[in-house]
Amino acid sequence: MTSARGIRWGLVSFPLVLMGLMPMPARAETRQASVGNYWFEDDATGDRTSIVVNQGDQLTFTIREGIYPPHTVDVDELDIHSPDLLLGATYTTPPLKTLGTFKLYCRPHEQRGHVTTLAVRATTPTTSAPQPEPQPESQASTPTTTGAGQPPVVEGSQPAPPAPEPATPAPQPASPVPPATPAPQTTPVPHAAVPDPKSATVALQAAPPAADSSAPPAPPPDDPVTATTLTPVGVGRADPESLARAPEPEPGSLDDLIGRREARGAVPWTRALRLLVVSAVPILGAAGFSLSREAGRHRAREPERGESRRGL
Amino acid sequence: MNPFALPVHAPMVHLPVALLTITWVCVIVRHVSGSARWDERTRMFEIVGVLALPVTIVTAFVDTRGFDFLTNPRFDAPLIWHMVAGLAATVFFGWHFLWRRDRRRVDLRLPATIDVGLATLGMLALMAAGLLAAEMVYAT
Repeated sequence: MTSARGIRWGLVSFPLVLMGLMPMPARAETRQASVGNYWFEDDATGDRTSIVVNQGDQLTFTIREGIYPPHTVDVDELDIHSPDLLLGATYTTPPLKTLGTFKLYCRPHEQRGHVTTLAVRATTPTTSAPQPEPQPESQASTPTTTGAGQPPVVEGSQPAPPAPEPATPAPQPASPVPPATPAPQTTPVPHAAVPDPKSATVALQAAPPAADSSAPPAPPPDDPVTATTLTPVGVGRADPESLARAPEPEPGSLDDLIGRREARGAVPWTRALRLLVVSAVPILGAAGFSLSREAGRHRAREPERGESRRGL
Repeated sequence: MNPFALPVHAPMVHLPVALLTITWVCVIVRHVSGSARWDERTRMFEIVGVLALPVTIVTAFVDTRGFDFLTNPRFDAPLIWHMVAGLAATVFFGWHFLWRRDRRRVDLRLPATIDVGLATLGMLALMAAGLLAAEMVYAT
């Protein structure tokens, strides 16, 4: 009796355990990055040498240090070009669907070294599913798996149209989103990425995705209808509280050398006006002193003139 | 537009700033001491300082890559106010220089109030422009 009951429970729980072990594709999210003089920083890792995101993620850049000409966010290969961004502004990219490693730079300050690397990698499983055998690394590419039943993708290759997915509501972004932006409409997240068949470096290890003949043809990757947008794309305004965190100065930079402290307030540069009021005191004092001396001499000359007039 | 890919306004602006600051000091010393010999020194410093102003303004527009930023100026950013303050300094010192020249031409005495007043207003505008420039250079 007991053994039969155990078998029944086993039959019921075994598929559940298997489902739990199935690797689920990672959810797209809006990642946060900071921009300063003259660096880009991944807020999650603090890395200024590269920003790594998963395919389908969006990136929100927050300007934490301003300068003129203002910073911009530019990735030529992904056709991302922000307008000028002042201190406290944010810029959110569209979902990053093209795999590869790209040059992320600030247009006005590129020649000053305001450049870093943006790596868009294939989505990785989020559960503790058995990892596939490591693939032999190619010098030109690094294949990575995208999940069960999906072929590896190669950095630098163009993604294929995203496979249609069940209507799963898009998740909330893990990182904070600027509250000034309205709650976005979410659509299913495309996770699948199929390597470019023309790419000679692709090592196909897994079976190709199961093609459902009844499914509608997959739309092109740039189809705006299927683009997952967790956060409104474009320029926004950062939460003032998030700006309260002073960024670490770039090692060896002028900020680092002089230990300059950031101004606080909605319009930090009004600090200049306060300094002007202070510095105007000695200037006006010197001017007033010189005028008083001139007036003193003038008064001293008046009796002499009066005497000379009387003498005449 | 800028073949050097480096700011050219910043290295140039020191010349009029230094000369016009010395001009203001000469005006103050002239009226404190009462010695007319400071008038000639004031004139020498001011003429070079005022002549350096157009060069400084031109280099500023080289750095901003033209006049596009004036079509939709950002009044919440220091650049436009730096420009306004610099323009005010130019006007005050230019006016001071021309007024002094005209007064000397007809051999009239220099009223101290106008002499010190114009130079001091120019100095304050110069100070404002400098502080706003510091906010831009050292990044708030």
